[in-house]
Amino acid sequence: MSALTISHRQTPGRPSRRRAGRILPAVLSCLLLSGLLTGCGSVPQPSAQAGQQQSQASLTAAQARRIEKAVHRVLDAADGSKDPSGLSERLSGPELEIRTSQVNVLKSTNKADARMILPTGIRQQVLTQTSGWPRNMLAITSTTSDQQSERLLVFNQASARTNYKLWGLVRLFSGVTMPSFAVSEQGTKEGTAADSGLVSTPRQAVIDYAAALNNIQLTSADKVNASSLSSADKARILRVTTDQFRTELADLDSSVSKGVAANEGTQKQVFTPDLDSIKVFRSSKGGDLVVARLDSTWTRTAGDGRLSQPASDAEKALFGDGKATSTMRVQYVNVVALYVPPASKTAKIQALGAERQPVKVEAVG
Amino acid sequence: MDKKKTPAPAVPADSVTADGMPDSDARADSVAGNDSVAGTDSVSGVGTAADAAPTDGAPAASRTERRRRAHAGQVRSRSRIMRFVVSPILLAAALVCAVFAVLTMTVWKPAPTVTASAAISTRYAVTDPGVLVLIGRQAGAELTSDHRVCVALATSQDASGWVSGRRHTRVTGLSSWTELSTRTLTATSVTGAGGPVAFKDSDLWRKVSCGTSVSLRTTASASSPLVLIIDTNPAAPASSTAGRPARLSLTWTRTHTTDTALPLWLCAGLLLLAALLCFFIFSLSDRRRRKARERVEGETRGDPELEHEREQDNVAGADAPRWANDHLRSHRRRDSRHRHSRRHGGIFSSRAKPSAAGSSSSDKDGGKAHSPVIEEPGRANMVARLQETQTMAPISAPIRSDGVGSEIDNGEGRPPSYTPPSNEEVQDYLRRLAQERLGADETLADGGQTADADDTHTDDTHKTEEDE
Repeated sequence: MSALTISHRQTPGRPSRRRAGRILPAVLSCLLLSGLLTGCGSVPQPSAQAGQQQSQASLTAAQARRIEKAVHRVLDAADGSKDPSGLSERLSGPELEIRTSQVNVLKSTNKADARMILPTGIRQQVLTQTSGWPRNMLAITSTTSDQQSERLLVFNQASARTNYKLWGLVRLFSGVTMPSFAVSEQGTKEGTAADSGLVSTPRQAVIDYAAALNNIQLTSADKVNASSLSSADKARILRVTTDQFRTELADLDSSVSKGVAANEGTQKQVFTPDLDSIKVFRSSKGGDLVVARLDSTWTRTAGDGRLSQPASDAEKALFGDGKATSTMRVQYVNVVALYVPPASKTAKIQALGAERQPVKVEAVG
Repeated sequence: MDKKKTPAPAVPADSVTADGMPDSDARADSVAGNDSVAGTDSVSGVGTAADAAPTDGAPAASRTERRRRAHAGQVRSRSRIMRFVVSPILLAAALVCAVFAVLTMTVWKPAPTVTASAAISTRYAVTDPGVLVLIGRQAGAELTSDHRVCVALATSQDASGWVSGRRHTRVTGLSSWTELSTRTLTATSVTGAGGPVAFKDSDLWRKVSCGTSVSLRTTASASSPLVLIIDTNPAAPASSTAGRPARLSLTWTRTHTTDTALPLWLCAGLLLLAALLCFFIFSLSDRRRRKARERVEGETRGDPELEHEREQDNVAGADAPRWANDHLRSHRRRDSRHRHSRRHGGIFSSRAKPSAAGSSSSDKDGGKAHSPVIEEPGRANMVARLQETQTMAPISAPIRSDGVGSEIDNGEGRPPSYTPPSNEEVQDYLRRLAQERLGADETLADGGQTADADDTHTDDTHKTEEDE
């Protein structure tokens, strides 16, 4: 007889135990499954990592476009009405003064200055990562319809409850190469006036450029070295490359000097940088783009018995019906955009663009 | 010498040991009995044993029959349990799981949207980061009031900058599936200049909407920093913090739902499969084995070669344990695998030698590859075998078409058949064997001369002793 048969006979209770062993797991499985269905769980809560913003621009491209359009609306309204009173809604800083002067000149002369044209097309937006205030953003326009150079626009938001305003505008020099910046979605970091690792700090770069403008005739290294300036002043001027703005100013100074000298008069223009409103944008290649305001005062004194008159149509418009005297003082607002490269033996500060506008003309004396 | 097929001798009742196993001695005796029957003197011996067998073999047969019936009953009982108890239970469990799965997909299916609301009493209200993406990526805000209100979408930094230092409400999440949880922050020092910019004109907002009932929708990622900021009194001066009552409702659209029905469907499928297996497979194990074995035996019944192998393998006797014949099968497989010559001689090979009418089969067997009989020890059914051996012809010799065991050489090297002993001879043998097992001395005297050389020697010795 088989062992299997014998084993069955020896353990008669085994089949019932096996049956119980099969049924019990099935019952337990059903109970566990039903337990899965009971209850929907607690309400979800926001995670702790929610809202932790990665490196991201504080504005979207759409928001930036809305800001630019709002600025255009204000500019167009002011130009159309020849009333600068509404410019403060979307303009601030040096550009407010420049634009106000331009609109007043337009109102006086009824001739639009070509420099007032602001292209609506934007070639590049440089949005920043700044989450606090004040915060800035850059925009580079396309060329104008009459082939004028591109404009570099600097927008500034002073606080959360104010809007972005056009703070500065410079006309880029022809043939200049702009530094590269991070993509708009990622956002560009704003720098400070004390950024290190550069040819000079942004603050010092503005001082150096002002020194170069104050010695406007020293447009070459030979002239600088041959001058009687101190070595420190010479070093400052030599750190700055010669640019179109300096060249034009040098030519203007030269011609005015000849005319004044013929009348036994004098003239002098002094540039003073505004070091408290420097805007710094960090390039992706390591340098800084610095936009600064320089106020200049041009004092022209005619010889004895002569009257000093406005030197341009804009000065005339601003002087209006004023009574000329022997001395005329004209205040200019200048805005320059400088590129301060990373420190190296041969690197120099380069001006990328500038804007200049007389804002006040007064007869002194 | 003709091959004598020895019948499976009945195992006497008292030969069963205490553990229920047949007495090995009795089995050995039965082997000896087989050996004695295989000799040429077996005819009379078998006849003598057969005369005495019916008297003592009947109780053994009835016990065997009872055991067989009991085993068959157990098999039927187990089959019934698997089919009519276990299988229905598993099927019912599968049905329950399927019902739950259907309910989960229909009645219990989560609503596609979740709407919660809260009353706003302060002028400003800001949602916390992550609230807009609390449930899915899509959210909609609806602000209702009896006066003009504004709602805007902004980054959390911009919204915080706008309400900085001012009393406002923070919407922190859900207190329930229908209510928003809020908390009010008191005013601190106001930072930043308060300009004349109106709420709806601020450059900070990604989207803004103003009116008596305004709505705003957004789709954001899980890590989005966007929040909602609400001004319930936009017409008031910027410095004013006086708010007007409004109700904020946030509606989230579920973009990802957990498929809770899938595990239930899987469970139902597995339970159904288990039920089918229990019903069709697990309940038929013994029957299938028996039928399989019968099928194999039926297929090989007409094959003289396989029959010869089976006979040769069964030298130890049908009631002997299967391991007694295993060595023969392993030898046969080794021979057929390596194509060595067959084992000649040996103490067991002579028992399976064909009759004298046929030539020696060993030479013809040698070197020929025969298909081994595959037997599974685990499926051995001793009771059935006993039954078969008792009811079948004493010697399961291949039935030739001519009915006579003659030497047939079919060219494939198969051994020739032999003439099985007559029924009378077998019955005599059985009787003698039974008597020997029981230890009855009178059987020997009546049985006369019998059997094989070995047992003949033993019997003669016994007789001689008696005579003496």
